[in-house]
Amino acid sequence: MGNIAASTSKTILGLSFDYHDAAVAILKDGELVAAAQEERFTRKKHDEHFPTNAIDYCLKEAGLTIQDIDYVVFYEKPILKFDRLLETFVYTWPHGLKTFLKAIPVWMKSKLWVKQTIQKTLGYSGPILFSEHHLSHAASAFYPSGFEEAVVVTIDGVGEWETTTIGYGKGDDLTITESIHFPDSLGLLYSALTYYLGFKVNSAEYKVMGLAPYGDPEPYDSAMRKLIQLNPDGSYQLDQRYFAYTYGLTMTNKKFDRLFGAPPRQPESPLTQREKDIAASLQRITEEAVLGIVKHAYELHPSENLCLAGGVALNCVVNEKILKQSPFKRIFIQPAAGDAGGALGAALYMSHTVFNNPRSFEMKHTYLGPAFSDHEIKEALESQKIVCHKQDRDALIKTAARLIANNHVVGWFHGRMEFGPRALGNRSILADPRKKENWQRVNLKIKFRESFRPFAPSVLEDKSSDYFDNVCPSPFMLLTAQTKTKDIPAVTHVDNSARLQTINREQNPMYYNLIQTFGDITGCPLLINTSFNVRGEPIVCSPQDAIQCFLNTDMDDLFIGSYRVSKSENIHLIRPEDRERYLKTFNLD
Amino acid sequence: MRFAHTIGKINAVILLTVFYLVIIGVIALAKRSVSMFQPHHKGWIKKESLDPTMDWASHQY
Repeated sequence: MGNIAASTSKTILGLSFDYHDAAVAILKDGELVAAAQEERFTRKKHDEHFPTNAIDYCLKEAGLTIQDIDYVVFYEKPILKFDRLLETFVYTWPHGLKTFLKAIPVWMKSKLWVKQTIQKTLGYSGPILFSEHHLSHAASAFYPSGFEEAVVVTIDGVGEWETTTIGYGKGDDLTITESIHFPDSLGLLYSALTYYLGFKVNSAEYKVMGLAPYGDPEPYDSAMRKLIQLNPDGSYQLDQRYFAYTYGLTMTNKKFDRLFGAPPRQPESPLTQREKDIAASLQRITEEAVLGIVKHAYELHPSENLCLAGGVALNCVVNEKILKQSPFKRIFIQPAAGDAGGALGAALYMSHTVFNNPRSFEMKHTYLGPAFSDHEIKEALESQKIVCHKQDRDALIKTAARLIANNHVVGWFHGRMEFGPRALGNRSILADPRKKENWQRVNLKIKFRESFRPFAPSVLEDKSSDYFDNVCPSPFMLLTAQTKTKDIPAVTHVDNSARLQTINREQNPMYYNLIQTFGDITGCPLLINTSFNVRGEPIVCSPQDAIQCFLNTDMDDLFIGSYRVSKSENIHLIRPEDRERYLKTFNLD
Repeated sequence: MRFAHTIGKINAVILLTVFYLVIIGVIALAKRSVSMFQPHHKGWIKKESLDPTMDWASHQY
């Protein structure tokens, strides 16, 4: 073993930044102490900048200073990525000159100097190591899975060169065995269509997934199959004649427009059946492609367990298809499957494979971010002159459940913030799923987002089979299931599916008790659970963020720490101009 | 005199730029024809496994 590996690892700081979703994870003696995305602190969605605030938080949570960190690990290899940029420029010459000239200054100025940036910004003089992008994803899925052995599949836009990988993990070892390289990329195909459908790339892919059930995949099936060729061995190729991402500033080109019969949809213009059909077609071919990949992975490494990561693993409809149609019996999906999870994976890989620390934890929840004391919350409320009421925990839960049953929409802010893109009951907006009008109400008056977007239910794990078919635990809201009943229309999508979060008492006792109490009152142990934010805003982090979001939306009540805040008692604080200013703070996603 | 000097400078910059682009273009066209240089490898590629015993300090990028 090399000179670094010979030493014993104690504290490892994993970092991801410089592309999108900058994040930090800290391992102390093999235990995951804290993890957070920079966007939550800077309030800029998908913030890719050096995660100074997230590092400060993680160190504080671990009770350490930067000098106590034994190793810093970056989630990918910048030089290999730069190599791809150069080779792609040469390959696409002269078309890529404009993109190249735009990219080179950024690389020369900062992206090539990751080590120096870390040293200079943090004042850190210890060793800095570099994992590989997809290896970090794979590690983020395998090591916290709880599986002794498993096949690991990662699929995203692109890392250094790789876009899809298959690997196998056993005990503390993890090896990537096969991969598909740029420019063939399932993630980039999804992003290209996201762009073409008028949504934001690297941000709104989940909207396309939500749009798909409204459409018919048939009309655009043949066009879609011209874009991507699926091979019997699970590999695939994209026909680069239709794409511009290797050389241009857009994802698709004129030939693509001709294939689909029109130029890209203008963002925010009305959605037609055409866009819905294209989304449906894309979703179907993505499902076929991913099923091909995981079946090939099973042939390579027969196992009952599958771990998934990479941005495509956030496609919960695909995940459900894998569970139902592939040979795998159990599946673990890293909840921070995108690049944020790379920070965690890089740290875990170094800890287990390079430093031989034994695996010591299973990721059962994502509550790894900051928590705030009642004292801090009280100060935040008083600074805004907000009328509030302190209640003990049981009374707070009963009041919240009763108000939701009376069709109030409430903000729910408790405990540590979630790591990853989903709000799972600590930074959530909650409402009654039995009232169909809540779908539109929460979309349009509280989240200020597109009306077509569905809502997810949180359901008690032990009651989930009463409402959903063939349901298995889905603690991170990364699987869908078919609803059995018509009693929960606000969380039932047009194809009768729901992207559910199952919850047990161990994962989040307070949230579990709230849903249980709501179930006792209404006979329905489910809630609408959507992230505590408005469109384009990162999920709230601090009490101040939550109060601002509460005041500037049509939420009825806020339950924050031990305090209950009612909108009706604070109506004097609401000013339309403040709301307008607040909503303009965030770029539309 | 001063005007001619400026024109000369502009010409030099243009010539150097054209020269640079031509060189890059020739290299690019030449390398495009060499299949091993093309980034587009099709299908599954066997991955050489990382050697966890390697010295990470000297292989960090």
